[in-house]
Amino acid sequence: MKYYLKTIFPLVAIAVFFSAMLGVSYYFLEPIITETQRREEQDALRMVLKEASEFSAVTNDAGFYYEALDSEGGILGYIFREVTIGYGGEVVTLVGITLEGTAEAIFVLNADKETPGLGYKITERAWQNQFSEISPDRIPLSKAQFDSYGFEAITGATISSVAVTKSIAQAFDRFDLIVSEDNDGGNDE
Amino acid sequence: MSNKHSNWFEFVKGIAKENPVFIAALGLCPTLAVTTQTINGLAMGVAVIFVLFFANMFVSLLRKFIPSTVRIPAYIMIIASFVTLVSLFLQAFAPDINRALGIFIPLIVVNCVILGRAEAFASKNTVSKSLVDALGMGIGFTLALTLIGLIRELSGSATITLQFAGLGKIFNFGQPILDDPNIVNVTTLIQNPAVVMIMPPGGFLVMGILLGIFQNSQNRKAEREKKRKQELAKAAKAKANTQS
Repeated sequence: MKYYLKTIFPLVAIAVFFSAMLGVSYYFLEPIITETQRREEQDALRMVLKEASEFSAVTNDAGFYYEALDSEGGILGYIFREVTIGYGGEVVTLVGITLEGTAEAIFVLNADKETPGLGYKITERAWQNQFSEISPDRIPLSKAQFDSYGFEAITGATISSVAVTKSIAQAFDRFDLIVSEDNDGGNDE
Repeated sequence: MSNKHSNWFEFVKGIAKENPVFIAALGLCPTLAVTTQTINGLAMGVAVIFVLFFANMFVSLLRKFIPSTVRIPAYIMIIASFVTLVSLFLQAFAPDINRALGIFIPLIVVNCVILGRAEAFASKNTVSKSLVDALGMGIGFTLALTLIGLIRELSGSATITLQFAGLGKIFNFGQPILDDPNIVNVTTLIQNPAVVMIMPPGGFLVMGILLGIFQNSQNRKAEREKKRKQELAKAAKAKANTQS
């Protein structure tokens, strides 16, 4: 019995000491982590709708999205966080659509599962900029449509490119849903 | 304990003579997986130095307190605590790096460089020696990862990324990329980078070539040593003959 206690005691002591150390560290780091995540999110949202001064998260029948507000609190547009499947895994894209129904800009938030140097190029701003002012009926969803609509897919990474354009299409679908709901409900906000 | 070797020896051996990656071939999984960009290799190395330093310190401090029957669980607990700490720091201050390194940060817990040094060195040596050993091994690991990352990134995407938490730049050696303030276009050295180099096969290729080069230089050194000894023996013999 004494042998077992002698063996277990050091393990318990080490576990208690290091748990306490981690607990204290987390107590001090947690606010910084939350702040970093919030700032990253806000920065990304500002990328897709530049004029907005504030963003508020909304969840309703159309799912989760952000309302972009101007300084007086009026709605400028909506930002959708769309998740599609690329070549290696999830691709997360932010699509900003103004009230007039044009996509102002898009921003690929996360494409870490795409091949570096190939599919990962969807995170380049220069490539994403071609989709600003895109109209919902001319979203390329295949290699052929990329060519015929005059857009440029990333060479050798059509699947990753289409993952981005798919999320634009999804965003427009949800935008239509929100707009039609607002009209039905007589804008009771 | 053993005072056979100087601190300087313990430090330098991790960088060259007993390099954890090129000579001991330890910790190859993260080595191959994260080195798609220079900065990833560097960041991974720094994370490993941090964990290795404190793990060696505590293992060495507690080496008389931990019963040898349960030493592995005890080491794992110590290592895991510091890995969690690194992970929290990365989440707070360098979310980009945290995303890029992904699962390989938690996997430092079972990185054989760290467990190997705890078991083979820190549990048998004084605290100061263990710390010197940790720094040497850590820097050796970092240099190896950075070198592999540099070669793979330069040949695979014609860039060298030295950007950490929004600081630093990406140096571009391929076709100029305009209107991005983070990118410095150096020269157009590589027109068509070989994308395979940043994919898994490229990792194995670079790794294999570097292992070969290091092994070759080790073999040559051993051969030179052997030859020198033979010549010495011959000279001694000749001397003995002329004297007689």
